[in-house]
Amino acid sequence: MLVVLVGQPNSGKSAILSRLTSARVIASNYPGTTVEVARARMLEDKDVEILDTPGVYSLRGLTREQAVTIEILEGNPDLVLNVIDGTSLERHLSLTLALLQYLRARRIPVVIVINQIDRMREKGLAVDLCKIQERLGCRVVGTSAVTGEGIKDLVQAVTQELGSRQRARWGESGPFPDSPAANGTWKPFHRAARELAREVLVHRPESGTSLLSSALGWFDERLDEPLGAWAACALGLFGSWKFLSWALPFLEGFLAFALNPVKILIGKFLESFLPENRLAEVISHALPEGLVLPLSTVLPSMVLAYLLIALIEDTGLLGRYAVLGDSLMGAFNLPGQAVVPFMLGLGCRVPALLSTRILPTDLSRKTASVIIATLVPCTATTSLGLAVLARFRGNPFVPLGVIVASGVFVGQVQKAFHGGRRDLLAIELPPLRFPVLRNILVKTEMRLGGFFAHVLPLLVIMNVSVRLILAYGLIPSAGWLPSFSRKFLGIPGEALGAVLFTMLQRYLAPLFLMQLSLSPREATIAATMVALGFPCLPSQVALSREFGFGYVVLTLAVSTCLFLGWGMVLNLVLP
Amino acid sequence: MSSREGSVMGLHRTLPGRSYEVVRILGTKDVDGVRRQYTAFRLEELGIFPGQTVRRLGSRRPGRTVIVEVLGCRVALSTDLARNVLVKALGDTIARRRNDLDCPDHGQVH
Repeated sequence: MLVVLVGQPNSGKSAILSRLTSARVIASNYPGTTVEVARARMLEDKDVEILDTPGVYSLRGLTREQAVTIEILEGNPDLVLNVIDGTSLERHLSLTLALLQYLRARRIPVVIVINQIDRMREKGLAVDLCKIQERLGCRVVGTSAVTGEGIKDLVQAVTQELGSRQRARWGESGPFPDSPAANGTWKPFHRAARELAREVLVHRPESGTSLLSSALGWFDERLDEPLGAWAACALGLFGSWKFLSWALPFLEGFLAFALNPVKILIGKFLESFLPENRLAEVISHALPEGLVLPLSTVLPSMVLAYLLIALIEDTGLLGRYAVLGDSLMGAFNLPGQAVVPFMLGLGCRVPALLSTRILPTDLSRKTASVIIATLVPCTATTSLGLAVLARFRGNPFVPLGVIVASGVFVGQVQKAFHGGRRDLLAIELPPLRFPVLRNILVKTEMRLGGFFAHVLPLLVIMNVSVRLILAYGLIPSAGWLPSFSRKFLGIPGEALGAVLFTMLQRYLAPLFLMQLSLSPREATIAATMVALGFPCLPSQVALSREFGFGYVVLTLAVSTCLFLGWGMVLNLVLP
Repeated sequence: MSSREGSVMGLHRTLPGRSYEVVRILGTKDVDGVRRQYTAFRLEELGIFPGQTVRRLGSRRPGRTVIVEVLGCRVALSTDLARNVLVKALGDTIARRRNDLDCPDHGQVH
């Protein structure tokens, strides 16, 4: 049996899915967290499969998310759970009314889930459940996915609805406007929703608003002012920097200290059973090093970056950053919402590429995707690149400046190609919320799963490969490469070889550079070129899936032009 | 530049703290490159359509993103988009009447 979760962005569908199933899905406080359909089996009844759909404002098929949701509903599910944010009842009821009209025509049963009732209470609001049930002609349950309140009632409602299989009990009356949902105007639904909200919403001044709610409301209002918003942004950046500068060396040092005995132990273990030859010698050194280096260099920055990203997501500040970033994003020919995928890209490029779906048009999505795939440095690459620069005393501000300048360049080229068009910012700002520690830790852990499943094994293999390539002299030392590299880029031929290796695997290049002997100038140029190098394989797959193989080729071409072009410029400019 | 009751202006020229009624969404061919119909639909989904009441929040500094409260939520619009939303100022009494939710304090509530 199939149950489908439908609702507006940021209503709490993913959090409800997590409560009803054992699925681990990321839920955040910004519209558009869910970009793909997630599915899982219900805990209480394994025969019931629950589908989480991306948030939609209407069912007109205007956006990809709306088309996907309509397609799923066309599949005639056994039950639909319409999730509503109770704190914005009027706004969410417009979709509910359209959905009910749509489902009534197909005789698909529905349960309305009024979520976030804990926050409603904080605001001194409540819903007259009897009245709304009577008006809508279907079951209504109040829940809080964060606290778990009302989830038992919801499970019971789902079980009963699925058990009764009463597909034909829709009444003919109801507050449904006459206007058709698809491709028609949405105004009648808003108006009907307003009337319904007036009928069923109850103000309870006696319950009062909590101190926390009042404080968050006060901060929300301050953030509407540019001064307050910039101050909050600056404070957030300063806090993140202070936190990173304190926690990162501590965590790196601790892990390096703790893992050193493991490294020695693995090395000795390998030496004990491998035959005594050159290959065995290389492997017995490279394997433990390849295991420990990522854990002590890459993992700490990933953990801290993901913690900070989760914190920003859950507080609701990400929406505010999108507003602040609207003028800055204009330089990349993108609307302010692009801040969201860019920020996610600082963690990992793959979810960032998928989250470009929150952008309004294909033009913005493609521009943002090219910039993310070629320029936004993920945590793993950043930490390895910084390790290279630290080792050879290179200048970290050069790659940073080059990345920003390249982003502006790519954006302007896209703009010129598309006749100066640019999408404009139009987003709903989520209210500020106090983050829940459990949610932040769960999200960080889920995102780190990718590190252990994909990045760590790759880094181990890459480290062994680099050592073998160096030991057996497989880097071309003759021919045109070294002379071209020295003359035009100012780096040794091996360093250019390392940059070219990013085509195979992005993490290989910094690992390779670390094995060379470079001057600060050479390290700065080489690290900058690596930062502009080819996107990693998972990013290429994501790009191909989203826009087709042609876009992968385009991205690789852009990367090649950028890293060769900037290498030559830096060779001319740097002292 | 005036926000006198009844005068029509772009949303980007409104005064913070005041309520306005949306009169019209402009754009004959393109709204700065974005398809007009798409823009109108998108704004409509966010609750901005003729007849709707919006309240301007934040600052009125030129070039800044316009933040409005509509349907109980904050919606941010870029200035270029906001200038295509024509509004007229509402008197305080009308605005209060439109915004007040006439809710009963009885019944089985959650």
